[in-house]
Amino acid sequence: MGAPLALIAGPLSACAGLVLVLLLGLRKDHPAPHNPFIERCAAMACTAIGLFFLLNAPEAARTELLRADGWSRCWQALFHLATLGLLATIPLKGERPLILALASLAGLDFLASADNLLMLFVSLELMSLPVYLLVWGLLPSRKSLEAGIKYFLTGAAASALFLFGLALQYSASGSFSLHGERSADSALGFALMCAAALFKTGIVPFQFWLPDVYEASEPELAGWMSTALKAAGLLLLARLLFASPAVPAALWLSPLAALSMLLGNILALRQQNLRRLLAYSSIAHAGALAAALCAWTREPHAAPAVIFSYLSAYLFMNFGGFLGLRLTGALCVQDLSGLGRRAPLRSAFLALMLLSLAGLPPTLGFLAKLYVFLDLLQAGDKFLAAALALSSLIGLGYYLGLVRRMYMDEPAAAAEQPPICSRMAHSLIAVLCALACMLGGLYPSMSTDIGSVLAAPAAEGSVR
Amino acid sequence: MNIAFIIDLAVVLALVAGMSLVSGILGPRRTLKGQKGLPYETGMPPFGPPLGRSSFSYQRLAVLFVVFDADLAFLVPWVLLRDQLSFEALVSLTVFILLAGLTLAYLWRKGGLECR
Repeated sequence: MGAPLALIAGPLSACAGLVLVLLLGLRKDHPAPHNPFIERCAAMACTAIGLFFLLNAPEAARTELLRADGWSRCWQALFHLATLGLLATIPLKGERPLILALASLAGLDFLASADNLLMLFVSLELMSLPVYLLVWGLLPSRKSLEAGIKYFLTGAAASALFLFGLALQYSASGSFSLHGERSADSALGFALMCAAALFKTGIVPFQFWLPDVYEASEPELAGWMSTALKAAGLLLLARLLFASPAVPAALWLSPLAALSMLLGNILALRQQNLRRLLAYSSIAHAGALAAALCAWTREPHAAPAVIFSYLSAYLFMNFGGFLGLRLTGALCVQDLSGLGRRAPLRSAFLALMLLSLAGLPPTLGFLAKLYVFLDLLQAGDKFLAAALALSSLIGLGYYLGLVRRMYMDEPAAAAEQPPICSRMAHSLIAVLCALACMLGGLYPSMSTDIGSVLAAPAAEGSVR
Repeated sequence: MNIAFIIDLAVVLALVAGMSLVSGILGPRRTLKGQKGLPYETGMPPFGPPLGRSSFSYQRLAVLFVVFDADLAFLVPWVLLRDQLSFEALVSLTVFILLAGLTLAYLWRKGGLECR
């Protein structure tokens, strides 16, 4: 104890929200399915207070297990922002999903500030376990049960990999420190732990679970998982890469990154289900992030800001994309036919998100992709830069195909049209995402600004 | 390695190979059918549907017991060693016990402890 507030402000706010929701839940027993408005507001308020603290506490601290600096605070702010979006829009039939989401947020926050392998593992588990339940139990059905069990079993295998790696590293160095001594055993240990991180991020060859899980989850949940959990996986990967011994990351990570980008986009071309399509697109984006990570290991100056700006851009456009699916009620590609005439505002929003995901110029997505591209060229990684350009070209094929379908195809018969969702919170968050995607694209110094915040007060040593 | 060992080895190998060969040529040939063909002649049949479903509520009670047990495990030193513990440890323990108690109360209130 005796830790300054800066170390635990993020997780503390999440836990406070959790306790508050539990206490509010004590009021009634056996409630009928209802939409718990007060609980939702309490959870959102606690998350927002945490976000406020994180943005206003420029103080660095460090203990054996945790560290607080610009780097950890930025990531925690990202997680809080994503979770705010989730809490505002998630469909509820009782307060339990809120409890699970807040518990997962606490895990995410600890992951961002963990400075110790054991702490990394515990926060990884705290982050993942509630999500398995959320995938299954948000609106239980046969399909969500199948997805939940698939996710749980594969996730448990990933955790086991991490634990094996942890044990190897511990037996080699005798400590759980991220910066302990290195040997051949610890190289193997770090390789196993990196595999777990690749799994959480959904990078080829650990991407197989992703489409099934996203297809069966609610769009809001899938949007949150594809942004917050992916960011957490990437953060874990970055931590491990910079702590790991001699084997240069570029050797093994760059082919995987290129494969993810190409495979994700090529497989997305043939998808009929829109959630599956966005899932494959998220595999491609994870590949681009891994490419940025490769550039970082070679050129350690600019890249953390590049990765972080890509992730924050991705938060807005991918969460917005899934939100667009909810708002238009579209499940498969055919549902989009003629949507531009039936629901002009909603389809304009979805089209903007898709264009941003494709990386077309006036949007935030373009800027994010451009940073990665320039970074790769600067690091001299022409192979990955070419792969990024090629995969973006392939990606245009399906993103633009969807936009064409919305605006140029004839609408389906009225009976087959999906119902349109009109909830206030969804519309509000959609407006926020749209504004971020449009205005962010006009803010080219974003990366350097973020970089200065990231590097700001480091406890000791560099931002790593 | 002495010569006696090698001779012994050769004799053993020749004997075993010879007996197997003679048995294979002269021995009766029949295929095993029915119960005789199974890996175990008696006991549980190795194929067929597994055991029937068991009630999930037992498992839920078991999980709840773990919460209660963890709560109790910290409650004992909290009571017995309260004079020797530092202030920090006392606060940590109290927070933990309260949280676990709150979880238990929530589950109780929502009907998680009823055996149905």
